[in-house]
Amino acid sequence: MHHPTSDLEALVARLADGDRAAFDPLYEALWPLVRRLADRMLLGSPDAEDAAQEAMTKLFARASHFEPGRSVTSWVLAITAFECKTLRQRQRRRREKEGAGVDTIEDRLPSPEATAIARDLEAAAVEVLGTLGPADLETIRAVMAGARPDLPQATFRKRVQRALNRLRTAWSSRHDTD
Amino acid sequence: MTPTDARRRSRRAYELSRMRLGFLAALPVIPLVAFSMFACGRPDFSLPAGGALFAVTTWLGARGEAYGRAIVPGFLSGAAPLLLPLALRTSGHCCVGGVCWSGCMLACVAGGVLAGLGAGFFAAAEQRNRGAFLGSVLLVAGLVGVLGCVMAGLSGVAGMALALGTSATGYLAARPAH
Repeated sequence: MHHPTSDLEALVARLADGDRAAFDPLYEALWPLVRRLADRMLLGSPDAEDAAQEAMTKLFARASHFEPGRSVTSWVLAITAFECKTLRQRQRRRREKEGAGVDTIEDRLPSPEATAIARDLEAAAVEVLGTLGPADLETIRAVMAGARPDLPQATFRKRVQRALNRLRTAWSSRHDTD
Repeated sequence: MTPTDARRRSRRAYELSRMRLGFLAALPVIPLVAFSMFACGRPDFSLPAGGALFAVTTWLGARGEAYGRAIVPGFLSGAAPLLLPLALRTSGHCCVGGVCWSGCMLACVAGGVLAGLGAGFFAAAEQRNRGAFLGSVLLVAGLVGVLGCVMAGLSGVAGMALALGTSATGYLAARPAH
């Protein structure tokens, strides 16, 4: 089910205030988003579910400290990206300890340089997403979650285009690229 | 990990973070108890009252919502019955109509009145769940007040508690909401 960003922010704010009734609806709303993000970041690895569950645990452990007015999408993305990175590092360490033979996500990446680049890109993407407005974030989130808001297709397509253009502009201005 | 386990783990992480929050909110109780023991010289009263205040504050902070919001107003309101008896402990006795009261006893009652007015003032500004908020403010303010009124004995504590409840109710009856 697709939840608008304002609904998510209201749920997180209620949970941060101590309202336990917000726990289940927030869990239901965040799980598909976090699961899909982890899947994408870990290239569909079976460990993506573990990373997503770990990210959900961290999200709820920090929910009481969520600052009102902060973007929920950036918050979720930052914690999920961190968990995925931690999982990769853990796998790399395990691989180094045990030697070859353990199939890790990094095996599927072209080279260590590419892995490092992918990590930097993730961090940069999280930073740039934080500069977008709530409407753009909501649109991008809907696209990533594969959800279609209750809008005519043409309107939604225009919004997606507009959000991606702003993302591109924000990226270009921060990282001096075309 | 099954989805149910993951949800349970997230819930546990959330509750633990709330407990931590409550514990942090209760930390100012420690110097208050030390101050009460030093100033009043009644550890047999100060320690149980301080323990109860610590437990209540931790629970209120962990519970959140109106209960959690009541902690700071409770401490502020309780400052009057905590400090007044200490300030007036050397003032001797006050006799009105042939009945003599110790300065400490009168200070406890006056502090209770001030604390009740403070609690009523804060509760009038609370929009949601005012009953829970007022009850929590009175509980915290009362226990903080006990730490100062222990030097007047049980009668001082009882006078302070009675004055606290009466003046808070009176304030709210006169000014129901801000």
